[in-house]
Amino acid sequence: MASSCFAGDLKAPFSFPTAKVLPKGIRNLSMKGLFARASQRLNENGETVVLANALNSTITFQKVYDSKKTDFDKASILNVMHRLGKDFDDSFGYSTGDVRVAATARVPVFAFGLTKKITVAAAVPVIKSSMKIKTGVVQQNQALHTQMIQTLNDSGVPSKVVETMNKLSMPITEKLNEYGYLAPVGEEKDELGDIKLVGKYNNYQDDQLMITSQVDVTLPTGKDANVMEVVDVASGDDQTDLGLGVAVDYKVSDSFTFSGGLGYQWQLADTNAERIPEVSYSRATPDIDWNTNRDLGNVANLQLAGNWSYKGFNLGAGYSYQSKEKDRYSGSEFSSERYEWLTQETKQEMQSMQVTAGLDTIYLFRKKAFPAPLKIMFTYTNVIDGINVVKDPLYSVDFNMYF
Amino acid sequence: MKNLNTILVSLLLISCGRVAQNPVVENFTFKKPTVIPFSTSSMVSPMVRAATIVVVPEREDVKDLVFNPMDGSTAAEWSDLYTNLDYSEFLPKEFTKEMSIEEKILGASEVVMAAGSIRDQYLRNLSSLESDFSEKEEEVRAYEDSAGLTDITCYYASRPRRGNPYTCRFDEDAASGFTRTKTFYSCENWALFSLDANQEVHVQFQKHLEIAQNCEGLQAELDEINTVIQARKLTRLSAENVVLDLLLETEKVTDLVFAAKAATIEKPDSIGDESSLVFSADKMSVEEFKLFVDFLPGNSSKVGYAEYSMANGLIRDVSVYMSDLGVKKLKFTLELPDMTFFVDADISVEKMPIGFRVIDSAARVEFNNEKTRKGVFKLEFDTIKL
Repeated sequence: MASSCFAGDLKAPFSFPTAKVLPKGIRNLSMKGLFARASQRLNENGETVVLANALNSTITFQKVYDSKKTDFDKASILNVMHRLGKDFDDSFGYSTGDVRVAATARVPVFAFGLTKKITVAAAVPVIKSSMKIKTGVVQQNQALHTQMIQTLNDSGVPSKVVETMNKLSMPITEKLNEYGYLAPVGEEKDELGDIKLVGKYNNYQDDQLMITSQVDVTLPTGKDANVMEVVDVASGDDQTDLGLGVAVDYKVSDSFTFSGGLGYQWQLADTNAERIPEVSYSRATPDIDWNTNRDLGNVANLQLAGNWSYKGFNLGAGYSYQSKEKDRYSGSEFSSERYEWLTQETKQEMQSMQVTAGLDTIYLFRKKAFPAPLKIMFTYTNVIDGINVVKDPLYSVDFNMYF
Repeated sequence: MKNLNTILVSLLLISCGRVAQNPVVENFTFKKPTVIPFSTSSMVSPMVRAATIVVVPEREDVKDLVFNPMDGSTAAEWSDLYTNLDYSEFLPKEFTKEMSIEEKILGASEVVMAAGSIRDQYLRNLSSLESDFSEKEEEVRAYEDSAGLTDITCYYASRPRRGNPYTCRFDEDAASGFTRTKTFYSCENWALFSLDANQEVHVQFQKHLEIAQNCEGLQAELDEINTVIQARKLTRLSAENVVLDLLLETEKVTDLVFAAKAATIEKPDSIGDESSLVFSADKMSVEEFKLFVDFLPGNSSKVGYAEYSMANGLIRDVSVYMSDLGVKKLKFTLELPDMTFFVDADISVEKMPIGFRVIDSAARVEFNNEKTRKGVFKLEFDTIKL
C-alpha cells in the first residue's frame, strides 16, 4: 500500500537549470506556484498503474493466512482451507481502492547577490494538499463464500462469522483497523514544506559561456508521512539533504541560450518511525519500529534545456533525467528480512520533458520603458518515463521580481 | 504592472484552490448472512451433554515433542480419525525431532481442530443416520404387517437350541412328529424359519421364499445403516482420544496442563454428578453453573473429579451480555487448580443434534506459573423445541 506521496520521492522539475547569478546587491523575490495531481504512477517495471495499485489486490487463502499473527490462527485458516478442499491460491475476490491527490505548493524564494559571483537564496515552500481515498471489494466465487460461512457457522462461534463477513466485505478498512491505522479518509492539509537554502558561485563567465556551481541544504521543516495513516501526503521527509551541482549556460545567440545542469543530493541517514512489513507483498502491517535506521537513497540529476528570449517573450523546452538509489532500512525490533522488504520499490528513475512560456519586462526596464524588472513563466512538465514515480504532469507558474 | 499583478494573483488563487478528484472504485458484495440468534423459543437442557476444555500449545511447548501415534496403543484411534478425514494428507502422522517447530505447531493445532470438526460433523451425520435407521425400521414393520408373515405355517418336530433355526414343514405330519407350531412375526427372526426337505413343491413355498428374500434385503439395509452409525460413534470417540493423546504427550515435555475433562452426559463421572448450567427464564443471567472437572495424568497437581461452581466460588464473574457484533455471550472466570480460564464465549443454538453451545475458541488461560496461553472452552447442551 502506498504510504506517502511526494516527499522523499523524485519530483518532476518545474524550472530549467541556470548558471545565472544575481549582480551584487540585487535582490530577487519570486513566487512559484506549483500544481500537481497524483492518480497514476509508474511501477517497478515502468508500467503505468493507478496510485492506489497496492490496494487492488486479490484476496486469497495465502493472504488471509499470512495476515494471521498466531500459529493457532494460522492453523485455523489451514484447517478451513483443507476442509473445503481449497489451496492457497483460491480467491474470494479482490479488494479495490483508489487514491486521488492534488497538491499545490506556493514557494516564495528570496535571492540576494552577495557578490558579483555569489548568490544566496532561501526557498520556503508551503504545501496545500487534498487527498481523497475510497476502498471497496469485489466478491467473487459465491460457492466458496457460502462454504466458508457454513464452515464457520458449523463451528458455533457467531462472532467469527460476523468478523469474517466484515473482513470479506470491507477487507481494507477492517485490516487497517486491525493493524492500528487511522481510518482511511480524505483530508486537506496546509503545511510548511522542507526549507531549502542555496548558495551559487559563478566559476567562469565570458560572452558566451557561464559556469556556476551550487551547494544546497534542505532542512527537515516539513512533516513526514504519518505512520498511523496508510496513505498520507507528506510535506517533507524529516531528514536533511545536502546537494552539490553545476550549471552551464551557453549563449548560442543573443536570443537563444542552451543550459545544462548536473546535480547530486545526499539524503542523510536518520532514525524514523516506520511500519515494518510482515510479508514481502504488502506494506500494511501492525508492526511499528519507532527507531528504524533509515537512509533514503541519494539522488542524481541531469537537466538540459534551450531557452529563447526575445524582447520580453520567453519560450523554452527541456529534458530531465533523475535517478534515486534504493532506500536502506535496518533495525533491531524485527528480522532483517522484514526491513529489507521496506526497501522494495524505492529505487526511482524519472525522465521528464518541460515546456515553458512567459513574459518579462527586463528588456523594457533596461530601456526605461517599464518601472520594474518582472518576469512570469508558465511551465508544463510531463513525466515521459520512469520507475516508481508519480506519472501525473506538473504545472507551475513562476513570478519574479528584481529589486 | 497592476494588470500583471492581477493576472499573477488570479493564477495563484486558482492553483491553490484545487482539490483532489473523487476516487472511483469497483464494489460488489454478496448478500450477508444473518447470524442465527439465540432465542427463547428453545428450552435448553441444564445438563452439559459434552465439554471441551483444552489449552492450545505454543511453539515452545512442542519443540521437544516426539510422538509416533500410529504406533502402539494410540494407533487404532489415530488411524480411525485419519481414515475418516478426507484431508488427512495435510496432517502430521508423527512428530519427530527433525520436524521444524512451525510444522509441529501448525500440525498439532490442526489435529486438534480437525478432531473437533469431525466430532461435530459426525454428530450431525449421526442424527441423520439415526433418522434413516428409524425410517427403515418403519419400512420393515410396514412390510411385516402387509406381507402376511403369519399366514405361512410352520410345523416343527423339536425346538432348536436358542438362536438356531427351526426346521419347519408347511403341513402338520403327526407320523414324523411335526406337530408343534411356531409363528414368525418379524423379518428379524424370519432367518430362523428354515424348511425341511421336499417343501419346494408346497403352495406356500414361493411366498416363504419371497418373504425371506425381502426380509434379508431390508435387514441388510438396516444393518448397513447401523454399521455406519457405530463407526461414526467410534470415530467421534477416536477424535476425542486423539486430542487427549496429543495433549498428554505435550504435557510430558512441558510443565503445563493442556487438557481437562468434564463429567457430562456423554462422558459421565461413574460415581459423581454431571456438569450443569442453568440460565434465568429470560436467558440474560446464569442462576447455577457447575462443572465437574478432572485432568489427564500428566502435569496436573490434582487428579480426580472435583466441583468447580458458582456456589463454591471457583466459577466467578459470570455475566451474559450482547456483544458489539450482536452476538449473545457468556463471560466467566473458571479457576482450576493449575490455571485460570478467562472465558468470553459465544452462545449459539442450532437444531438438534448440535443444540445449544457455549464456545470460546480463544479463551485466555493464565497458569499459576505465570505463563499464558490460549484455550478452547466449549460446552454443549440438548435443546427441546417448545
